[in-house]
Amino acid sequence: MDQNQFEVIQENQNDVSILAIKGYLDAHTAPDFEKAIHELLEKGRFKIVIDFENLNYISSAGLGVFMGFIEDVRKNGGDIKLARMNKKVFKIFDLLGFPNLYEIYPNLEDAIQKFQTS
Amino acid sequence: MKIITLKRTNFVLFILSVFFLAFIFLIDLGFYYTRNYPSNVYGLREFMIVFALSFFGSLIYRQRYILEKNVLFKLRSLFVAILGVYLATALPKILLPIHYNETNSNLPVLFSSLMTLLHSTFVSIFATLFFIAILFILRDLVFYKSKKGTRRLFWAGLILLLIYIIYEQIHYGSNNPEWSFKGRDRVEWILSGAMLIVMMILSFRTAWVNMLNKKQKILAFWAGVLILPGAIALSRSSSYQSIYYYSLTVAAFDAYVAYFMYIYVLFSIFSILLHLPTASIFDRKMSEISSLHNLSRTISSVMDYDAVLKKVTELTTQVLSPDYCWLEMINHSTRIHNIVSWRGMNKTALEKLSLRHDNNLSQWIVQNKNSALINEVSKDSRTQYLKYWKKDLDSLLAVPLISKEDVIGILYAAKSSEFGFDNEDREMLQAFVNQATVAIENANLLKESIEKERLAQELRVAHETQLKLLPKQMPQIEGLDIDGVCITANEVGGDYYGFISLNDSHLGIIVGDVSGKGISAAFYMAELKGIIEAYAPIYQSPKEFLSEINRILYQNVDRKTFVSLTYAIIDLEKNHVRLGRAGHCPSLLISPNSGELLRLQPAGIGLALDGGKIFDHILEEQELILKNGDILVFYTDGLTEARNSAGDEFGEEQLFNVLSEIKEESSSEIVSKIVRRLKDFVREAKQHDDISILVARKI
Repeated sequence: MDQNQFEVIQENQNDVSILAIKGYLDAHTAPDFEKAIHELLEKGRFKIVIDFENLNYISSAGLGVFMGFIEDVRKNGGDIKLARMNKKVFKIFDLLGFPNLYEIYPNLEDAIQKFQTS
Repeated sequence: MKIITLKRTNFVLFILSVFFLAFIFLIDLGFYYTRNYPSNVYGLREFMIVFALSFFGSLIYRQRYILEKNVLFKLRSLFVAILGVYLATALPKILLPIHYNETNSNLPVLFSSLMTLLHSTFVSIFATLFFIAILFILRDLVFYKSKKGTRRLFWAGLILLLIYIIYEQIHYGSNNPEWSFKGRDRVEWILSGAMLIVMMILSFRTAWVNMLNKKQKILAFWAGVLILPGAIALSRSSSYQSIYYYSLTVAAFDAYVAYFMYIYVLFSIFSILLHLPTASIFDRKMSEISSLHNLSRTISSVMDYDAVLKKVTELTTQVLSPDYCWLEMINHSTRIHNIVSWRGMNKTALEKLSLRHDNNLSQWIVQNKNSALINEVSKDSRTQYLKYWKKDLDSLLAVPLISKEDVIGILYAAKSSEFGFDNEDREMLQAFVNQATVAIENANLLKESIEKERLAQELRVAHETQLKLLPKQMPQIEGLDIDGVCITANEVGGDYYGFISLNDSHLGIIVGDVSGKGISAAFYMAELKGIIEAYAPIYQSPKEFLSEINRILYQNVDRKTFVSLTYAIIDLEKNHVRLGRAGHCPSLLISPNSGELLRLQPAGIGLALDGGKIFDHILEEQELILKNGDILVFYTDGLTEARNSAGDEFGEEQLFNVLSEIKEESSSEIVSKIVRRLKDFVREAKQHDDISILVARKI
């Protein structure tokens, strides 16, 4: 089950921060993810791309993390863009209607590019 | 009663002793006038004197200043007792200058003048009382932290004294005309020598010197120097010649104590002198040990985790008085260093320091698991980073908190003076930190177990709440066979279902899932149920109802929380269904007659995700015809996302498979079939989320 261990890796590309999340994002690991985003906002980094490539599962509590921050981020002229979701994870987002609320990209570059052109 | 009898016996003995001494004085006086002392009285006279003085000695022994074992008190008592001896011997001699020129060769001595008789009696009795006290005090000082051998030797000295006295009595006793004070014979010399050796050995026992601090040592030294000349003078027999004339036994005892005292005081002075150069270091060590003891005791008495962390820097500041002190704890999994407790800096300084947590020094400590004592901060490569933090920083002491071979934190103390700490500080801090680590670990364990208990309690409440919120029984409505189940997970998952009886022919069915888990999910379920029951009867259309409750929920729940929900209104008059889906997983319509299976997934986003604009724009309503025998299946994602131990999901496919096998079964049979299939699939694997299934069949 080690591959399901939740982990966040942060990387900056100019003013865009990329958070690569890994493993299971559920009610138990959501606080870790929350903390990672919170730290970015503390430093005034509001342009955030979440890289879902290695995320295996997301629960409702995990989805709640995005909702908790999005208002604040957008108010500060930033955004949280989502990228590289696998099919299963996308389905969960899709059922809830998240594609209507967030920009979701099939690859990382597009998401980062989007920040720099806007 | 026992005390009273004891007191009475003592009283009788006291009277007897006073009487003996008075009697001796009287017969001495009587024989002085008759100028003839019969020798046969001698033995009785000696016995009476020894008896009386021994009894007074036992009274002295019971006094507070003898029983009290405090070293300082003993020394003070010794000083006072020696002064007392001076007073009893020297003072009368100075005030009443008299000469002993008794010439008779028989014992007891026949005094030449009334003055010498008075003088001799007075000096002997009072000096001896003080000598008895001195012996007791010397005994306690010698015995201080001594071994059995010392005690034996002490008693051996007294036994030698007894032998000496007996020998003297036999040798000079009653009517030996040879007696004089001029010289001793060989036996006396040997006995005296042996006693001196014993005294000298005993005088090496000055362990109490270690108990004194520097100031007290200096004081004791000068007191000793001051009193020594007197002690030397006393140890010379001529100075208490008057006692010899009074009684040989008493004189031998007094001489013994006087010599012992003289030698002991002399040795003590040397001992203090030897200890003086190291006195201040010794003092510091002592204060360190005592403060360490205090630290350990204080830290162990604090049980609260955060309080322990605070206490660590507080106590360190108290003992080492650094200008800055801070405690870094290292997160077990992330290895991130966090300053959890600090002293001597404000918030801005703390934040500046926190940004520098990935520094060479803490890395060095974590790797080496050793403390660091840096006396020139600016010259050490490991502490360059601190120069940017505080320019005035010059010495630093950093000590790791080690638990199970792992560095769990680092305690820092810093001073703005060079060479502010030494190796002893480092050792003491390490000893303290070791204690503190245990206290921190204990507090942590306690915190975890309280947390665990709290969570368990929270879970119980959440479970009970959820069970109370779910309907107790299925609605009875003509033309519809309804059944359902909610299999709750250990951690409450937030599943909710309910029925709204709109009128005789219209039934509303709701299946929903509140995001999150545990008590907060249960709390929002309760809120949701309230809103649904208040608003559902008002609206005839699922779309209108959902957009209304979305608006209300959005305003009333925490931004992280949202709800997925499906609302279906079944019209049994017109046999059709209107269905709205707010982000919930699809519902299913199965017609066993035609073998058709419809996935009902009209557009719609979850409740409370958006204020209404997007929600209302996207939300669609789906209308369906419900034929006889048609089956509606509502569920929550707990069903399709249920996993077996291999990590595979139950999925929609398996659900469709079960449903495709349905023919004439009742709703409750259909529910059982789904549950059975699910159980066959997941087997022993742990259930992570609530699983709800509702089946409604048109009959």
